[in-house]
Amino acid sequence: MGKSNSPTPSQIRELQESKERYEKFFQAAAFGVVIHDGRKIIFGNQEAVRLVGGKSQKEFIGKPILPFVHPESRLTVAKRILQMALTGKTAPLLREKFVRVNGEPFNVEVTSTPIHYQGKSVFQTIFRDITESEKISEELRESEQKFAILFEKNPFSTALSELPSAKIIAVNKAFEESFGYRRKEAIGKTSLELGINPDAETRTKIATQVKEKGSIHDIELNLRKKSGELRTYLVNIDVIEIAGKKYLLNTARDITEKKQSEKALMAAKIQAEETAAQEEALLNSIGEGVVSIDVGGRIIFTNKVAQKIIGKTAWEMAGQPFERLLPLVDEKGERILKDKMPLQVALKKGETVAVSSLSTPYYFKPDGEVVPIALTATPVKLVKETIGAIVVFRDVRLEKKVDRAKTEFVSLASHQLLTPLSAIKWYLELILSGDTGEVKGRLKDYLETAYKSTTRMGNLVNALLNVSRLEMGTFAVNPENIEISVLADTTLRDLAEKISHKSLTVKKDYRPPQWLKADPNLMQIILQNLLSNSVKYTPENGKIILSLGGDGEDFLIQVSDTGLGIPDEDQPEVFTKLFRGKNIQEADPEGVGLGLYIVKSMVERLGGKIWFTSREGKGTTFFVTIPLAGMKKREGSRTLIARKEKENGKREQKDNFSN
Amino acid sequence: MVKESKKTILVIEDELPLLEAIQRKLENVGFKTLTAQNTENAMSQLQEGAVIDLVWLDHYIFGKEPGLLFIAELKNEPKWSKIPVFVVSNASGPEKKQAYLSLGADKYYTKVDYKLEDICRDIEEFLNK
Repeated sequence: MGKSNSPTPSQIRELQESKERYEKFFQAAAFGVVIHDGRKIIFGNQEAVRLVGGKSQKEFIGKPILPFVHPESRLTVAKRILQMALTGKTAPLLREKFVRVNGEPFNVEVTSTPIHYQGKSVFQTIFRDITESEKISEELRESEQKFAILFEKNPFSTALSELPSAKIIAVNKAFEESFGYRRKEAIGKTSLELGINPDAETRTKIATQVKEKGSIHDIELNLRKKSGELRTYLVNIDVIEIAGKKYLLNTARDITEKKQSEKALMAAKIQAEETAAQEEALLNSIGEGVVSIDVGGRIIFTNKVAQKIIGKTAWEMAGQPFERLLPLVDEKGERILKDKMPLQVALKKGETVAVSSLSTPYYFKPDGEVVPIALTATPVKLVKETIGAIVVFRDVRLEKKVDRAKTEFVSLASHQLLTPLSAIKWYLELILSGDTGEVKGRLKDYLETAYKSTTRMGNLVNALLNVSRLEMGTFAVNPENIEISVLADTTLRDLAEKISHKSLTVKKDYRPPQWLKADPNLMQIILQNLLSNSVKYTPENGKIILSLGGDGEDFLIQVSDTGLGIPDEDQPEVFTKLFRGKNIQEADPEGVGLGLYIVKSMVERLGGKIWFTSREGKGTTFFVTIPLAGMKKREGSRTLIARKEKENGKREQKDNFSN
Repeated sequence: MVKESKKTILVIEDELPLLEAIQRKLENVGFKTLTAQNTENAMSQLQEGAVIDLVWLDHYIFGKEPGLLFIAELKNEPKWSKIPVFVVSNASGPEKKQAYLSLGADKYYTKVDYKLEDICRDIEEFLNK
């Protein structure tokens, strides 16, 4: 693009000189200089060679420029060259991407200007590598950004104040949210002006410490929000230096809720401790042994009384199987089977089991002493699942003693009643039999009623004596070989008059064996009670079946009737002392409610069983089993008295004073 | 009943009302009676030569059980060992009954369960055998 006129010698010299000057000037330049004609390189300085990673300046001369321009920048470069050629003006400073010899791209800041060189119109392109500086500024920017984010997103309220003015220059979002000041409200003010820390004393203290030590950490302060609300913060203050200037960095964390929940937790803890202390005091002050047991039957807790009864410390018992520590025996001294133990029943069936003080098991102490125990095992349930049990028990020696004293009193009192009762009875007899002159009419009727009542009273006193003997365990068992059918027939004969009076049918079903080793007196009481109940409570024209005979290892007595039956709600109470069903109170107001109690106590002490089936209005069947192995002889100081059914037997007819 | 030669019953009973009732009944049915409210008195009557056909003996006398001692003493003395003894007691139960029968008593009654008439008839039957 140079001019076609030939240069003069002076011009040539000038040109040569200028080329040398030019080259010298650019050779040492700290930026890359390339002269090219728009296609090929004419000159490149040392820095340009270094930047593109070449070896010598010479190798570049005559090389096309295009390979050194990154494809991304080729269009820009082409446009620039065209622009310069058309306008002859210097192109503005641009950012372009060049490529080194090894193919590595690098960013450059580049400017280009059309010049005359060696008599030609060419372009002088000056460039410098900005990859490094861009990278540094990028890193700086990123770092600044990171710190800005860190500052902004920091969940602790943060305020930066400059010193010495203490004016806030920056606050973060947490600060705005926590204290309620907008950024622009806070910036330019001191925290004193904002009134954040209202307490002058702590302010002074903090200022002193920060001045002396350069920081104060983790102090709890009550700070005021814009709204005036005071909240508790954990505060850190540090003096920091940025570019030689000092600043105050304040961070605060709102711990009001945390403090409150700590307080609540502390209160709950204190309360729990108080409750636990109260419970422990409660458990230790009650007069019964209390043991809590896990689902595996092992002891978790014992109170003082439990420790005393068992004779071991809480430590010795914890984790031990309860039943090993409190082995129970029945009154014969035999171990109670595991599945019969109240605790096992409570754990397996999830039911409360209470063993009352009068039919207690006994705690067999390791030293051989046997202590009567009343015990209740209650399952502990969590959402229907049994997770353990509480066993409450006590030594009932004293109760047994008191109970025995009561029974002995009843025995003694009953006994004392017999003498005056006999006197009344005998005098009535003397009057009624005419020993004092003729008695007739209403006087006679009344005296007969009095006489019958006296007889009933005698029976009642005898029943009470039997009860007390059973309860004292002082009754004797004298087994003999007896023919039970004979005994049964005798009993039925005693009842014959009542049976025929009510037109009852009695069916006898006697099966072998009929011989039994048993106490005739006791067997008679059992038969007498069951049969006389059937007779009493079966309406006219009813039916009674007495069946006797062997049943496996037992002798079975079965008494069925078509009587009043036992109402469902009364059934659980049938064997309870002095209990009488509602329907029979009306049918027989004279009964006392001791018969079945006596029979059951007796049968059980003889190793037998008694039970019944009944439907109200249909009838009742009582079942009694006595082991065929026979009753064991039992030495007792007293014998039970078979009730005299004299009023109804043969003698009754002779006693009938109407004769 | 043999009216010509009345039999004599010695009644030992500490309770006066009962004693009187027994005495009355026995006399009404034709017996002669001797009474004693304690066994010492009964024993001295025997020692003084009273002729007794039968002894009606209570078991408890003043809360004690001297009946057993009395019958033992009686049966131990050849002069009296043949005298039949009917025990009429408040002490119910076969142990006492057994004890008296083994000591030689002939019958054992519990007061409240028997009529005077029954016992008197048994005495008549027993003495007339």
